[in-house]
Amino acid sequence: MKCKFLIAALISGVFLVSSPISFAEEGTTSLEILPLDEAHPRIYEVSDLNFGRHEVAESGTKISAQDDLVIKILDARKISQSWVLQVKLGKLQNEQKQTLNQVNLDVGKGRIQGDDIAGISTEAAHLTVEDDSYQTVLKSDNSVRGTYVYTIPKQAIQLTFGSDSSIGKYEGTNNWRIINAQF
Amino acid sequence: MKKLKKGTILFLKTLGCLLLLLGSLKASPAFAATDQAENQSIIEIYDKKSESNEQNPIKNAAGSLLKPSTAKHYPQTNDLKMMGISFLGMLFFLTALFLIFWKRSKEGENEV
Repeated sequence: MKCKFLIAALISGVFLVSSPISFAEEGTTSLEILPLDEAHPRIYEVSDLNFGRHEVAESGTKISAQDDLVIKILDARKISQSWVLQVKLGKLQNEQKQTLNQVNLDVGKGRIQGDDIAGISTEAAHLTVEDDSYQTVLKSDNSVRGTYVYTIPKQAIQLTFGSDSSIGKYEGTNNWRIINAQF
Repeated sequence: MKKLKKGTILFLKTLGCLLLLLGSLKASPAFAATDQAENQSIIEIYDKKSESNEQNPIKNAAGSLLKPSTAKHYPQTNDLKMMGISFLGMLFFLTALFLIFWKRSKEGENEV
């Protein structure tokens, strides 16, 4: 009788102890310590620009992006220097390799968040495929350093296309560059 | 000797010009680019007219597109007949079931 009681107590004890453990989960923690001696500032991330699905009759009208444009920059240099962030619009092509005509992209001013944003100024850019030149979006003086997140609201990013455009899903690659120099 | 001097001077001049050009190019922003990244622009353009044609590809003998029927589908006479028969069948079945239980309960009362 005593033995049975003991076995029962042991089994119930095991269940009681093991039950909370069975719900536990394992996770990993990662931490990347970056040295403050990088040679150049870096573009960490640039989000894509999705303008959704539109009728061909909407040509000439301004189409806003569906999401905010987020750009992450890291300037981890020992001695800070001025830099500029620039963008160049790539041509948009569909599955049949047809190019979207008369594409204009207006990138308005956004908000900058980061460690030290006092020396950073934002600029609006007007981009065309025909122009094929880089336009400045962000400018810093030589007093800032750290991690920055530049968010341009979707309403401030507007695209127009020409009336003689063919139907299809168009995709284009835009080039971004951060220059370690003052303009 | 004079010829050699002239040649050397010309060579030095050319070298100097080349170095100046290279230096100015390196100092220009295009050569000072430190980091580059890419992102995608995506837009889908469709034509409402051609899309509606694609959705309704039924054509008549002349080859023109036919619009889908907008008429509502009402139950036909045969469907109504079948529905009536099944309803009556269900009614009979339930009545029979009720009678069986009623009879049994009555018998039980009599036994008591």
